[in-house]
Amino acid sequence: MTRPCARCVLTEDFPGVRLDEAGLCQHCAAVPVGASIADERARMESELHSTIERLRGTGPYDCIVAFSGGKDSSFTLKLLVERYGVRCLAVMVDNGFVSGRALENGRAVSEALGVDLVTYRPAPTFMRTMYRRSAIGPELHAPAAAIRASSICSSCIGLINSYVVRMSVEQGIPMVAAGYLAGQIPKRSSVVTIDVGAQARLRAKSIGTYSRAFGPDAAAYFALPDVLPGERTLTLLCPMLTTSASEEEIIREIEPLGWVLPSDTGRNSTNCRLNDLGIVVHLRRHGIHPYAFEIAEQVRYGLMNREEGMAKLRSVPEATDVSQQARAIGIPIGEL
Amino acid sequence: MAVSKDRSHGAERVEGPVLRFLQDALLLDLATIDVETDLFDRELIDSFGYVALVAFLEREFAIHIPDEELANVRLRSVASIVAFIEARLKPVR
Repeated sequence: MTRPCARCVLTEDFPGVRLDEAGLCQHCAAVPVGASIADERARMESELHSTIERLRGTGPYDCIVAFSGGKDSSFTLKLLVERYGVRCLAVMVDNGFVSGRALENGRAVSEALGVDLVTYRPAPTFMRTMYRRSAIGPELHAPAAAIRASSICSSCIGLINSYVVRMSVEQGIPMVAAGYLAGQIPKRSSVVTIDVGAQARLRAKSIGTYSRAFGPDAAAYFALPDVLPGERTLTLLCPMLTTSASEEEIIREIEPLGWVLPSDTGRNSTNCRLNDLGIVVHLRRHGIHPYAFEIAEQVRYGLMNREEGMAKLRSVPEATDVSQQARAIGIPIGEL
Repeated sequence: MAVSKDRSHGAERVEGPVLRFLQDALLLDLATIDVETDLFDRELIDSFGYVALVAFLEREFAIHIPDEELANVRLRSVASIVAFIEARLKPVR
């Protein structure tokens, strides 16, 4: 039987995980306990605050928020507007599978916070192809992407990030923000500086792969601005890393803004109706739950208790639960 | 995976942690690459992975990698990563 980490929810057969003599995975062994966690959050809050103060007022908006209408990006927008007084532009990407309730939540929350909202709806034919090809056939993403998100989500997040980065550069908006949780971003920092030109060059190879898989339009959807390395940096804000609020507390914070929990977005999402399909595909392709690493981080930092995290990972959808979503992107249930 | 040729003391103390990070955090199968493999050309590291790699190198070797160095995207292979870090560490006596 596979041993779980003594502190979080990862097991010793999870990719890259090693358990030490105390039964702790290396991620838990590296994390402080108790008051030190509060110190780390305080450091990240200070880092976020000073970055915002440095860049505030240097563009037509201070910050573009990649806004899904889900609970985390809604709370992110609330934090930036109410706690930090940031002038935000909320950008909502309607992928064709966003819950109607989530779209309403996006409108309600942005209106309640007095924030401008732009909705971008990429061509549904392209999006269906992108999701179908992400779900079946060989994996398109780098190996480590498998512990961050399902392939369906990784493709979608890549498209959204590309759109937001292009808009930021074109409009001269210095900061972008997203509702990333610990475990979803590559380092434990509330502020990540990105060199746009360097990232564009790294992206070039992926665009070739995406174009072969999704069709030639992929280049336009995934391209990053054609700037020289060193010419333009972008500052990514991750305010969720500064909060100690649990999922329930976050929902209690955003409900007064008109946010209502959707009923059609599956077990781990509050905005997308394809999420459970992504989980089913990921479990079959990689043998791991795409939320395991993120949930482990939440448990590690005391935002979720271990039993709750274990329960979330045990409660997985079956193929029959997602047959409707699979058909919607052109996959017969037998091909899952 | 073959280790670097003509390893210096610096290369030895750098290469081990780098390989372990590539294996454990970026989930690379070290049997399928060599020290000269271009990790980006093979699409083994994406943009998130690159940020994670830089954060690891700064933490592990107590160095700061300035944005202009990042812009050069020189950290493309195990050999180039080791050479980049080795040049920034004090020599071992």
